[in-house]
Amino acid sequence: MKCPLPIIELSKSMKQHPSENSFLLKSDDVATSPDLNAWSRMTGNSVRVIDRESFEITRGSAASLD
Amino acid sequence: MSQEYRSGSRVTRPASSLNRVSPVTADLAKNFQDLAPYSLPIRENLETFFTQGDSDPRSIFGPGAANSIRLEAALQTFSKVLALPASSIHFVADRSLAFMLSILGHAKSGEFRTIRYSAIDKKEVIAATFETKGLGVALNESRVDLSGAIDFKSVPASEVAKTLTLFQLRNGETGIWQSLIPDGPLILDATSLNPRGWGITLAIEVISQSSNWQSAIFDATSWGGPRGLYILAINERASWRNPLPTLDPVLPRFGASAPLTLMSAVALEIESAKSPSGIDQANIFLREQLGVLDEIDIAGDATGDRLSISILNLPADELMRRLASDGFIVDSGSACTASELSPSHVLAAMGILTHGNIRIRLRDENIGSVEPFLESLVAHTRSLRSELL
Repeated sequence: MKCPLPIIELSKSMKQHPSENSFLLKSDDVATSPDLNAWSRMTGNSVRVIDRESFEITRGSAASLD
Repeated sequence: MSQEYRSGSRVTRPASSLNRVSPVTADLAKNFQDLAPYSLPIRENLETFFTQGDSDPRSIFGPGAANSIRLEAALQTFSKVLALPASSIHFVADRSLAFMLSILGHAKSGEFRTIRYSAIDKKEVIAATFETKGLGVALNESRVDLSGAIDFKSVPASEVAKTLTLFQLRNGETGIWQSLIPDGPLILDATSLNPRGWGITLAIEVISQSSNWQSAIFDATSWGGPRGLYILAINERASWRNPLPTLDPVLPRFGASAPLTLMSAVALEIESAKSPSGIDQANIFLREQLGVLDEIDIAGDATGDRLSISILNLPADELMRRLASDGFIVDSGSACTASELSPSHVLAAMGILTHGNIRIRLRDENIGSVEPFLESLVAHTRSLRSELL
């Protein structure tokens, strides 16, 4: 799945599951990591890097990938 | 030139690939791309540039001698507007070659132990910098913050004179220019500066007030000139050695075309006589009005004729297609656009969203269309988002 679909699918999933706080995003697209950093800043959600292709998203309490 | 060929009793025209190319119908009023078709004064004089400008200037009689005078006048125009000594100016046909000549030429002098560059430098600049490792030069990459400001790593006082810094005065994608001039010897990437004021005053300040500039590279397209003409200015006090193999002590024209040199000088004269105000106002207007959209990144603050907008949850290729259906043509730094397979390294280094990105360049010809463009952009963004989310 290529840019920007990983971010769009993540946004859709968070909208469809408002009661869930934690999400796992798996993406092999090179744009996902820098875009998640910007996405976190813009939406206020936090991102934790698990490995190169896996990211844990937590609703609110924004924290960048750094 | 229309030439007819007789084949038997039938008269046929030569099959030319040019006959299959559509005529220039691009509507400049709706074209917001970086490299738009030439402005009217340049287009009207194309034939003159290519007929009169192509005579051999080394000839001391006839059209060649007249062309030599025209090229000298063009050189004086570049010297005057860009505040460069005429003797420092060299014309180069290719941007990568211009940067390679500059960077490798200074590195080859043996004067520098380290080269500092930044994460938002052009890819060919970074590539040419990497080549200096073979000459024993150490490399040092500087980071960039969200505002686009380069944070040049500090250098010990004893190393300043031995550290060459690649200083990008203004970024071509975002229009952001640097306000802090780093210490020590500099190569100026001035390829996105415009004589109306978008960054050019900073270049003039660096060149006229600092003996530290080693060389500077300018791009004619930044002032509406043609592609294929770059100016490499080498400070006569700088240590520089031609990195290309040569037996001739006089530097060549590095493939630069004489007609393109004349076109560039005329474009520079035209552009430097204009005021930046209308375009600056259009930039501010767009920034303010785009506030109606949530979750967007607009790079920098006052970026003159350039604007880079990233819109969350939006595929740039589809947005560009829909804008084009309304007649508006824009560029993009997103990986999902047809010509790019990787996201913009400039946006990624700044921490700006790389997807949903469109880049526009404002010109006298298109600022009258800014309001309908804005309406189209907002409407398509809203409809696309509602379809996708």
